[in-house]
Amino acid sequence: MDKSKNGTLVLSKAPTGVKGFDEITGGGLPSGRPTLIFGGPGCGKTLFSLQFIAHGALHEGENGVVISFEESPEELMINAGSIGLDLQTLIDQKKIAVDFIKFDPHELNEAGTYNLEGLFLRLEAVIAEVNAKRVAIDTLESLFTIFSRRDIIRAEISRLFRWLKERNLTTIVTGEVGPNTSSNSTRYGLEEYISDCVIYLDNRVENQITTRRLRIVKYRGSSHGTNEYPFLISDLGINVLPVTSIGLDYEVSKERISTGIPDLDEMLGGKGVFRGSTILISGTAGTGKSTIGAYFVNAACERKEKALFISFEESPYQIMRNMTSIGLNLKKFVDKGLLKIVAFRPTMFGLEMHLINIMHLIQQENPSVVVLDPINSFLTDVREHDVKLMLMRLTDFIKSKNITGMMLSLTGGGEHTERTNVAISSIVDTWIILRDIEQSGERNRGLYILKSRGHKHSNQIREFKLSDRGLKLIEVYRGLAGVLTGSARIAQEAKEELEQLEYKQEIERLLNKLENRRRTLENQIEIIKANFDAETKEIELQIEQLKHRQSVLEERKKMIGKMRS
Amino acid sequence: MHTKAENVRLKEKRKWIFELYIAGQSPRSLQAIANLKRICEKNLKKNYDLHVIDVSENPSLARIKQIIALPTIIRVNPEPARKVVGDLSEIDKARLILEI
Repeated sequence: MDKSKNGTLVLSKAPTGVKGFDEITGGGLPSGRPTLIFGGPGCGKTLFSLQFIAHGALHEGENGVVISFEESPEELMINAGSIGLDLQTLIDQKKIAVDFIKFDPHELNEAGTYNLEGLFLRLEAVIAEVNAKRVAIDTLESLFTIFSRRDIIRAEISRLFRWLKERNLTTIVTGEVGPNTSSNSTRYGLEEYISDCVIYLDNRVENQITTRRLRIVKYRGSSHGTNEYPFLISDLGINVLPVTSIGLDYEVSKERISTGIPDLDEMLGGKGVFRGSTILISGTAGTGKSTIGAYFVNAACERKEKALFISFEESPYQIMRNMTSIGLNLKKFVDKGLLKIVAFRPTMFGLEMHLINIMHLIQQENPSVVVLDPINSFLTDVREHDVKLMLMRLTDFIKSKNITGMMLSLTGGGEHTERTNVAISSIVDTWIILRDIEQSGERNRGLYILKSRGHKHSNQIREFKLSDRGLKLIEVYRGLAGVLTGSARIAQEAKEELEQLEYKQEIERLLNKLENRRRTLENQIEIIKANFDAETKEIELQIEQLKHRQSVLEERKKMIGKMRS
Repeated sequence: MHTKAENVRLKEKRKWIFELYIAGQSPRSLQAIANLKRICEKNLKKNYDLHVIDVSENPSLARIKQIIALPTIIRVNPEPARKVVGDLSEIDKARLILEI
């Protein structure tokens, strides 16, 4: 027990290293106390125990012992190896010790009373050997099959739990689920002895596909999720898929990368998408989703980055051939080893196996971009919620590796494009919608960005044109009648052009008219002016003549005057 | 299971060897020793060896001999080995298992 900030006692936790489990339990198993993990054969209880022990030794500085009733040390090594744990090294380093309790019930006979002091002595010895803080007993219920005196075994199991608690050992004991599986109890009622933590593992078959689930039945003194959590067992370890997105604290990149379509980059604020973000492209059949995906991986390869294209519908050859028709040569990148195209049948495995396969591929290829085409192929097995969890887990995984992911999603004809993907929309950063626009007896493709976290983006709907010269996003006609595409757009444009021409001609005509008028006027002015000039000359001449006559008259008067005097 | 005739033959020809594993001198341990001795004295006379081994002094023996319940009696000879757990307070059952 630790003291919390406000002085109350809180249960301290022992991390298990089972991804997701430590998050849903707020840190792991109750430290210094026993936990029961039970379930049917092959439910993963042994692997859970081994992961818990190995994680303690590797990462928590807590050595551990495994008391195995069912599997020999060699079998345990192989099992641990299947989830990527190297038990042998830990044993060699004296961090882990294994005691295999081998008992053939047929060779054992009982006469009189006994106790399990031998088991206690062995436990004590093996714990001392590595100074263990963690213990796994797999499966404790074997005692009931080895010995026939239930009264003795019950008393000894109680004593064992007291003994473990006194030594402050964090313990996992495992048990088999009872014959009445719906009762969710162990065959011999082991849960009666465990008051602290009980976990149920289930391996269920639905629609011929198995899914593993984990449920926390009891966790005293600790809040815990009561849901069933799907979990995975793979060579990456055990992964529990919590409902909430785990590990939201991965580093985010400010680097922007191209989508491979300049026009789309332009719409996304001119620089494309953030590296490490997740893009969802959804649309109805034949709207060009795969093409966008192909451009995306093509662009990555052109940047000399590795790309992974996972298809759930078409074969790699089909994809390459189809993309050649729009001028994309993916084959050359495949040959160079930059691009890997992988096809899975969605119904081939269960969800968890798909997730493992995809994670495995990503781990192996370490690409910088991943395309999943299309994600909703998984919805064939109806469990939409599980699909969401899987995609969430996958998204987290991709993001934690700073890989840019593109998920393509097919929307059914009658469905509303924006609603069908609500399930996963919350986990993607950029959501681009492709839709058919039907008009004037034509189907044309439209593209718009519904959301894009962290940068500004265009609010336009663009017309999306595929040709053998590639992909173009054309600015659509936006008028009072709404968005027009295809020939309707062309007709509208032609009409506008005609109108433009008419206006131009009218203006020219008017300008000519004005010019003519001005010329006429100017001519008239010329004439009037000329007349005026002529008149002026005439009048000036008359004035001149009059002045002459006047002066002649003056002369005569002078002469007459001289003669008289 | 051997026949009565075989048992007689075995009793005459070979020396019986028993290992009795206990943990400390607990009443149950002492009870087991006493019970085994009584059975042997009565049926095998002196034709037997009894080794009492205290596992608490050497726990690794419990691991080697695959012992978890105590007391445990192993009939080493005659072969094949027989293993019995308990203080042998059920004497008839003990004799039957150990074929004494």
